[in-house]
Amino acid sequence: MMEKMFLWDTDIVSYAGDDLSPYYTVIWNLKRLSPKDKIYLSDLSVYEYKAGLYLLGDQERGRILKGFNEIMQYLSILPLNPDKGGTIFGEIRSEYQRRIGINDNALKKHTIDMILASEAICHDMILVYNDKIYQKIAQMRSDFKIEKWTD
Amino acid sequence: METINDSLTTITLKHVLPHETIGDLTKRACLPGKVFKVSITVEEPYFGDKPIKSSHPLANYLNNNHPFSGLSEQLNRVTHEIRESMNDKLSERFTK
Repeated sequence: MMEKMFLWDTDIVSYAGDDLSPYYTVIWNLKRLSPKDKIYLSDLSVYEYKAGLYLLGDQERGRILKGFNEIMQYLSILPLNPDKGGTIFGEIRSEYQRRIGINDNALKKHTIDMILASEAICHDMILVYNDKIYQKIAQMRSDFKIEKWTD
Repeated sequence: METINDSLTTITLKHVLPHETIGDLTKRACLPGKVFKVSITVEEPYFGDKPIKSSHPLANYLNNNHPFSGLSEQLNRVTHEIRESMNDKLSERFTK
C-alpha cells in the first residue's frame, strides 16, 4: 500500500497529546495509519506553538515545550514552498474571495489556513483539520484532500 | 439481605474518558436512583467494523504518554491568538 502523507493543522497536535481532550477520535484515527505513513507539521505551526508558549505561565510552558519536543520526534517539519505554494495560495485566495464575497480585511484572518491548504496541495498531502474553512476550500479545489479526525 | 431482581439489562457506554467516575457513568446511563451492578469490558477502539491496532510510531508513543494532558484547550487558545497576529503580518507580506 502506498505511503500516505498527512499535514496536521496546529490544533491537531494539541488534541493528540491530550488524553482528556473531547477529541479522542484524533488518537483513533492516528492508530489506523500504517507505520510508514508520514505526518508533517508546517513550520508556521511550529512558530505558533513556540510563540504561544510565551502566553502561558512558566509551569505550563516547561511542560508543553517538553511534550512538544517529544511529539516532534515523530513528526517532520514542512518548510514553506513559496514558489509553487505561493501560486496556489494566490489562486485559492482570489477564488475564495470571489465565491464568498468577503472584503480584504475579513480575508486576512484566513491567511494561514489558506497557506496550509496550499502547502498540502503542493506536496500532495492530506490536511487533517478541525476548522470549517478547509471544507469550503476543498469544495473549490478537487486537488485538496482533507480529513476531519475530530468527528 | 435485600434481594436484587436479577433480570439484566446491558448498557454499553461508548467513548468513556479517563477522568469519568462511576458516578458520571451512572448519570450518562440514566441510572440514578436505581440498583445496578457494574462490570467493565475493555474493547479495542473500532474504526468501521475493524478493531484499531496501534502501529504508527506516534500512536505507540501516545499510548503511554500524554504530554498535553488537560491542556489542549488552553494550548489551542494561545496558538490561535498567535495565528491571528501572524495572519495580519503574512497577509501584508504575501498579498502586496
